[in-house]
Amino acid sequence: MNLSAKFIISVTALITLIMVGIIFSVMTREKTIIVQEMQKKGYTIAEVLAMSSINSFLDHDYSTLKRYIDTIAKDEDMKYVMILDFSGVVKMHNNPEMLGKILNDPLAMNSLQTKNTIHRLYQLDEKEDVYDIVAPIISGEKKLGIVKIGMSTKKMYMEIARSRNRILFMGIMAILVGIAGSIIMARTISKPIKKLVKSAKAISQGNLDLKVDVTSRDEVGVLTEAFRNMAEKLNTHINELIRAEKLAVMGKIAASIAHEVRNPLDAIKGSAEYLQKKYHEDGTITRFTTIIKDEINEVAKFLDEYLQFARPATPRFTPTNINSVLDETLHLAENLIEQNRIKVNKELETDLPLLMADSKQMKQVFMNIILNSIEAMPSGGVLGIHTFKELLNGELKDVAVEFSDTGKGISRDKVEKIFEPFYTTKEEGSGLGLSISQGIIERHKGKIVVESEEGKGSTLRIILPAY
Amino acid sequence: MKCNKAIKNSIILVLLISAVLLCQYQEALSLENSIKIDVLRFGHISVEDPTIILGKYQPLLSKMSALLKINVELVQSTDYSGILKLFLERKIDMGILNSFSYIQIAREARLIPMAKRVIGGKGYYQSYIIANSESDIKRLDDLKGKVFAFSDPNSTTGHLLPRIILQKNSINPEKDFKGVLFIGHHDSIILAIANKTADAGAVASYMFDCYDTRITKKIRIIDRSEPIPLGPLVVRLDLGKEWIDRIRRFFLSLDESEEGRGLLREAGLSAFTDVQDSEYDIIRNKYNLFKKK
Repeated sequence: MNLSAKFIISVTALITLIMVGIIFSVMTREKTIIVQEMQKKGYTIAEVLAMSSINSFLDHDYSTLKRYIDTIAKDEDMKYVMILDFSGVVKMHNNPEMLGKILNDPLAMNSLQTKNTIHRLYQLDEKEDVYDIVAPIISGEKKLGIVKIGMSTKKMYMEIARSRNRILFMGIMAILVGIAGSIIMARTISKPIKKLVKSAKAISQGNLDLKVDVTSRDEVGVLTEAFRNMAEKLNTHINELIRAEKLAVMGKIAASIAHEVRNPLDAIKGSAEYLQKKYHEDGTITRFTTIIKDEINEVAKFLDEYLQFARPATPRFTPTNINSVLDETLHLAENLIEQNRIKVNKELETDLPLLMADSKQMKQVFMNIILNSIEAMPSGGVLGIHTFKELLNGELKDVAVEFSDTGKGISRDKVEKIFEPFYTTKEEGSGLGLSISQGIIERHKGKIVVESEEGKGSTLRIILPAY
Repeated sequence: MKCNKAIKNSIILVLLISAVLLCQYQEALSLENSIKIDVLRFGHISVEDPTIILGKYQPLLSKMSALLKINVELVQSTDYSGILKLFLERKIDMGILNSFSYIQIAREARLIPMAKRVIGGKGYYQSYIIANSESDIKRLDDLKGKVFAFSDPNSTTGHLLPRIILQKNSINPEKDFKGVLFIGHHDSIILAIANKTADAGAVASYMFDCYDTRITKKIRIIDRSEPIPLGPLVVRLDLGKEWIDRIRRFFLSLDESEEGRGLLREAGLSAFTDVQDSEYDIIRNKYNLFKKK
């Protein structure tokens, strides 16, 4: 049974239970009221008739009594209205045939004894019950006779049935509306949950790159948000694991290359130098040995970078002024910047705190980034360099170094790959520069963020913790 | 002396004639001298429940008020003597009396008869001696030892005539009856006999003949009096000739129009006809005869 079915069933059961309770109590109450009203009406009529009859009764003014009785008998609920004297003789009756008859039903006999209005319910015929109400006619202490009226309960029962039907109808409507409401609510709640379930299944099948829409601000919304964050983090960590795995492999390769390639290369380079020295007048040999040496230098340089990446040096942290490191790096790259007709726009925060950093490695990172920027702007442009403090709740948290260029930019699908080892967009280049830079920054507990828009340029921000 | 006697006689004759003329003149004077009236008060002898009388006569009196352009008020009392007292105190200007009441107060209250009621096409009525049909009373003799109900002491058919009938049959109500009730309204008498409050009683024939048959079938008629004229519509002489004529014309012409007949029907009447005071001599004689015995 799924969640919405459970919800609908429980809400429906609850509503039905409550409504049945309400219907029952309202019906009982309504019935009581109707019955009481009926009795009250009967009592009032009987007692008023009894009181107003006293004088006419004493005067034998039967025409007046007849008028009273005929008036009351017009009420369609009234089955009979009569006045009896104390010996039970019918002195007046709405049915003239009854005049002079002696009535000795138990209630009449009983009421001749008491001085209170009394009533009973009895079956007049098979079809209807009658409220038989008897009020005494008392003048002073003397009891003259009784007033006896019979009120049909037919209309009363009809009224009770009508009110019962009305209440039942309203109750059933309320239950139906409640059920409809619970179904709609169940749908509303279960829809994002179903989405979430779908996403969770996708994740379990390995698809971490998913989008979960957060539409509501309620608990489900919060859950979805948390779930999305979890998926994102999972994705990041898995990527990191993959990278670490790659690095571990490369480390092993590096170790063997160091022995198996470096030593022969040194031997080849030594041999080439020897040949050059010995046959220095021979142009052909000199030319080729130069090529050999140069190429071996290229290979050695690549090997150095590779080894540095695969088995990075442990940074030696000293208090470092990032701005001076930046200035030193810019100084080194001065010629190159001028050659490429690039303008440097430098805005450095003056009161940056000293950071615990390896200035040599930081210089390497900055140089790498500056070189990339220059390469991104082959026909000149503006290189922005910017340092600033990042605050959190008014306290210094990070120091940021931002490099921006006005180059060709990087497309969105490539931004994620630029930190991958051996990924390069250049014809020459190892594809290790940014990987090495990232490695260094990570060992400084910092991070590198890239924002780029194709055709407009890129911005690369290094964030280093300030402690 | 003869001459003297003749002169004396003629003087007495002249004086008598002048006295008669003077009286007539005075009467004419009072007739001519029609008083300014802003309301006509109409009374009806209490033969039945005042509210029933009100219901019967109100439409007729409203019509009269509209035609004669004067307010007409119905004055009521619960019993005969109440109404008679109002007539004597000049608090009622016109109205309907029963025959017996008429002969008793007409002179003193300065009332003259204007018209006579016709009920069921008849200008006369009777007294019925009635008893419950479940009882063993079949003849007047059977009444002895029973409870007898008269209507009002001033009633003709509910008291005077039955007394005369009983007297003729040698029944003394005060001695021979177990009890005597004065029940007032004639319809109450019918009901009282139907519900066995009284064993027998006397009632006006027109009341009994028009009554609910579901009740009258429980009652048997033991004896009937001789017919007597229905009570008159009377008017106070002081109203003046002009008013008296206008009122008389209104009542006598009622049965000529459909509307008038409708109003009469509602009042339980067929018409009003001319009447002479002498028509009531029969009651006067009976009363005088009854008093002597």
